Amino acid sequence: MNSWPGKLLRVDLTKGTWAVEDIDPELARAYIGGRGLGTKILCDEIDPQVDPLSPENKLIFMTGPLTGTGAPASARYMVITKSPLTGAIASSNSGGYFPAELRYAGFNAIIFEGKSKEPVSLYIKNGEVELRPTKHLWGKTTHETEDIIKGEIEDPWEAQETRIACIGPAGEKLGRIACIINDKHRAAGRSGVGAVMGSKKLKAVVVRGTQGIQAADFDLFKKSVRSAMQKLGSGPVTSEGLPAYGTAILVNIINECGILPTNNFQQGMFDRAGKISGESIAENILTRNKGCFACSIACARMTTIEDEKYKGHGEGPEYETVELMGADCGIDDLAPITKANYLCNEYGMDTISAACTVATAMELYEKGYIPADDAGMDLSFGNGEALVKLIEQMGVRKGLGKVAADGAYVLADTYGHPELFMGVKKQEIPAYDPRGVQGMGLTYATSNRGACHVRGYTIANEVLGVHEKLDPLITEGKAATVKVFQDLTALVDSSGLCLFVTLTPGFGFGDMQAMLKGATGFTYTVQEVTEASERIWNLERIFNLKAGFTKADDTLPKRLLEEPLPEGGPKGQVCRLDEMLPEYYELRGWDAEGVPTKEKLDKLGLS
Amino acid sequence: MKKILVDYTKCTGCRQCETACSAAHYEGETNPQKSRIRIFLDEAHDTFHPVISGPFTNAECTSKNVVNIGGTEYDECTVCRASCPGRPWFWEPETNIALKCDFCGDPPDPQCVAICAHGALQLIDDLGLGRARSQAKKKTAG
Amino acid sequence: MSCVAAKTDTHEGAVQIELKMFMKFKRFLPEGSADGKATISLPAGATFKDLLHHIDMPVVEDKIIVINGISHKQSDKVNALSLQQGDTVAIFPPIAGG
Repeated sequence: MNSWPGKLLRVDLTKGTWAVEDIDPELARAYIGGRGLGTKILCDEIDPQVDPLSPENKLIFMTGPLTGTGAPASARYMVITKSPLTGAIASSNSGGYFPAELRYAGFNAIIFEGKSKEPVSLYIKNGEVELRPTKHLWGKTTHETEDIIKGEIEDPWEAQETRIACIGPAGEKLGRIACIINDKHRAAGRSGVGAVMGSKKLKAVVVRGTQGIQAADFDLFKKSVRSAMQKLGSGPVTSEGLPAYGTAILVNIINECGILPTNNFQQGMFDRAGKISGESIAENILTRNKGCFACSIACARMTTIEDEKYKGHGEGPEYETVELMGADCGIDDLAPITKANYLCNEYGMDTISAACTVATAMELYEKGYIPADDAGMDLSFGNGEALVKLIEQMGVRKGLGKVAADGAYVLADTYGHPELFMGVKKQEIPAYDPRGVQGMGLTYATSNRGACHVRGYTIANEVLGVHEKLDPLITEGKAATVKVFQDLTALVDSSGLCLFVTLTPGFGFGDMQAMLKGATGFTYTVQEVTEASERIWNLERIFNLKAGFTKADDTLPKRLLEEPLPEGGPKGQVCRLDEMLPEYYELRGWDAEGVPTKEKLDKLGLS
Repeated sequence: MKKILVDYTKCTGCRQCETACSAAHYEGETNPQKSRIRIFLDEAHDTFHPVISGPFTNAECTSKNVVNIGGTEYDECTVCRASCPGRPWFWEPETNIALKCDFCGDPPDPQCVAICAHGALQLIDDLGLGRARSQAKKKTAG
Repeated sequence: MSCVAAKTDTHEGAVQIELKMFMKFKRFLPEGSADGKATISLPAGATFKDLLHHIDMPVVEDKIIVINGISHKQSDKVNALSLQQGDTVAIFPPIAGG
C-alpha cells in the first residue's frame, strides 16, 4: 500500500463530475504536503488575478503526510484557495476528526473546481464518490447540517464514524470572513475560505473510511513518534498548561505584559482580564477538555453556559476568541462571549475576524461614525448583548450585519474611516498588540495570508521564553527570529501536525524530519525539509506578488506604528517596523522591494 | 498478572490508542477500524469511553440492558466489548475477522496503554476480583 | 507560613511590592491573600531572588516572571534584579498557546 503521496480527488462542480489522480511524488517531496503542496497546486492551476468568488478560483482540501498517522497532534488538514477577504493566498488549518477520516476514506486531497448550479454535497466512502443535490441543507447552520446528514445515515454506528466539513449561512451568503467548520466545532477559520465554498454552492463534504495509512519505515516512524511524544509529555506547556486551561491560559500574562488588545487596540491592558482568563473559564464554564485526533495536548474546551439569556453548549472560547470578543470589545462577561463563539461556529464565521469586526463597529459607533439608525443597537464598548446581536446579524447578513459580514476593513471603509481597521492586507489582527512585542509586528506585516499569529508565533520566545527568552521591546535580531518561526510553521502546516507541537522546548526541524522520513519513505534530511519550508514561504509570496501585492502592503495600521501604548510595561512604545523590514527582506533573499531575487529562486527551484 | 484499568473520566477522545494498536498489529498500518480498542463518543454527556475488544459472538443480544456509569445511563451497546454482528466495531475490514485484544507485548506492554498521555488507560497488577479499583485509588492518593 | 509576619512589616527602609501569582503558584502567596495577589514588604535593596526566598519559592523552579510589565524567564540576571518601592511582580508557570 502506498499511503503517501497517494490519490487526490478532482471534483468539477460545474459538470458534476470527478476524477481520481495520482499525486506526483516529486512535487510531494519538494512541497511536503498540506499547506505547501496545496499552494503549489493552486499556483500551477489558477491565475493569481482571478476573482476569488468566481468559478475560476479553486478550493483545495489538502492533508499532510502525517495526518491521521498517529504522530502527535496529527489531526490537521489545510484549505488552500485565493482569499475573498484579502485577495492573497488563503491557507486555513483545522483539526478534529475529519482530516484523518478523509485519508481513511482513500484520498489525501480534494480539488474543487467550477461552480454548481444547485447546492450539492460531496460524499466519499472508501474511495466511492458521490455528488448529491442537498438543497434541503442550504440555509442550515453547521450543527443542523451535521445532525441532518448523520440522521440520514441508516446505521447509527456508521453515522457516528462519519465526519463532516461544511459551511453555515455565512459562507452561503459569501461573507468574506466565513469559515469551513468540521466536526461541529473545529474551523478552517481565516481568510474567508467558507465564502469560496459557498460561491461554488458546495454545502458539505462527508467522509467515512476504513482504509489504513501505511508508514513507509515503521521502526523509524515509531521511534520518532515516541521521542516527540516524550517531549510533549514532559514539556510543561503541552502536558500541564494547555490541557488544564486551554489556550486562554494566555489572557493574564499577555495583560500583565501590556499587550492585550483592548477596545479595538486603543489600549493594551484590560482591568477585568481575570474574568475572561483561562482560569476563569476552567472555574465557571468548562465541562471538560478534549483532544483532536491523536493529540495528547487536548487543549479544546467543552463548555456550557447556564445563563438563561445566553444558554448553550459547545466548544470554546479559545484565547484569540475570548480576548478579542472580550477585552478588545471591552466585555468582561464569559456568557455573551461564549455564546457569540458558539454562534460563529454555527453560522460558520471566523471568530478572530468576527470579533475584530465587532470591536471596529464599537469604535466607529462611539466616535459617531456609524449613525444610530444604521447601528440599530447600543454598540458601546462593553455591551455583551450587542456583541451577540451583531454576530447574529453578521451570520445571516441582516441589519448592520449586511456590511459587517464582510469583515472589519469593509465596515470601517464603508463608514469612511479605514484607519480604524486594525488589520494587514484586509485581514484582522489577532490578540497581541505588536507595539509591546516587536517581532509580532513584523510577523503580522509579512504574513502571506494577511495579519496572522500562526504564521510566525514569536510570542513563544519574545514573551513566553519557550525555546529562548528574547526582549520583546527590541527590534535587533527579530527579523531572523521571525524568519525561523515562519519557516518552521510552514513545515508543520504542511506535515499535517498541529502547530502546538512547536510549543515544546527542544522540538524542531529534526523531529519533523524523522517523522516525515518514517511516514513517507522519502530520504529527507534536516537540510532538505528546512529548504522545503523556505520554498513554501517563497511560493506563497510569489502568488501574492502576481496577485498585485507590493512592499506597500507589508505594513501595519497607522495606530500601531504611530500612537504609543498608553500604559503598562511597553508604555510609550510603537511598533518600529521600519527597523526590521529591510533586514527581513535581506535575510529572505529578497530585493529592497520585497521581491525574491533570481539567485534565491534558483536555489529553491522556483525559477 | 496484569490488567488494564480504564478510567473514562480521563479520556479526552484523541484516539491515539486506536492508532498505536492498529500500527503495532499491522506492521505500521494506522487504521482505527483495525484497532482492538475504540473510543465511543457520547456527545450528549461530553464523555469518551475507551472500549477494549473482548470475546467474539455470532449473535446480537436479544435483551438490551441499560448500564449506569457514574450516574449516567447508557445503552449497553456503547460500552460492550464484544465483536458482535450488530455493531461494526472490532471487525477487520475486508476480511470480516473478529478482532480481540491480545494484551500485546511479552511481558505485557499494551501499546494503547503505552501511548495514552492522560492516564485513561493504566496497566495494573491483577489482585483478583474487585480489587483493581482500590489499588487505583491508592495510586492516585500516593 | 513564616512570611505572614513579614507581610505587615513596615520597618524603616523597607520596600513594598505587589506580588501576583497565577495558577499553581498561588500556593506561594501568604495565607489569607485574595485574588491571587499580596503586598509584600522587603528590606531596601532586596533582589528578586530575595523575594523568592521570602515566599519560600524554589529559585530554580521553571517560571515566567513579569516585572512592571516586562517579561523575563528564570535566570541569574533576573534573580539579581533589585526591587523598588511600588514594583509589580507577576509569576506564571511556563505557559504558551494562542
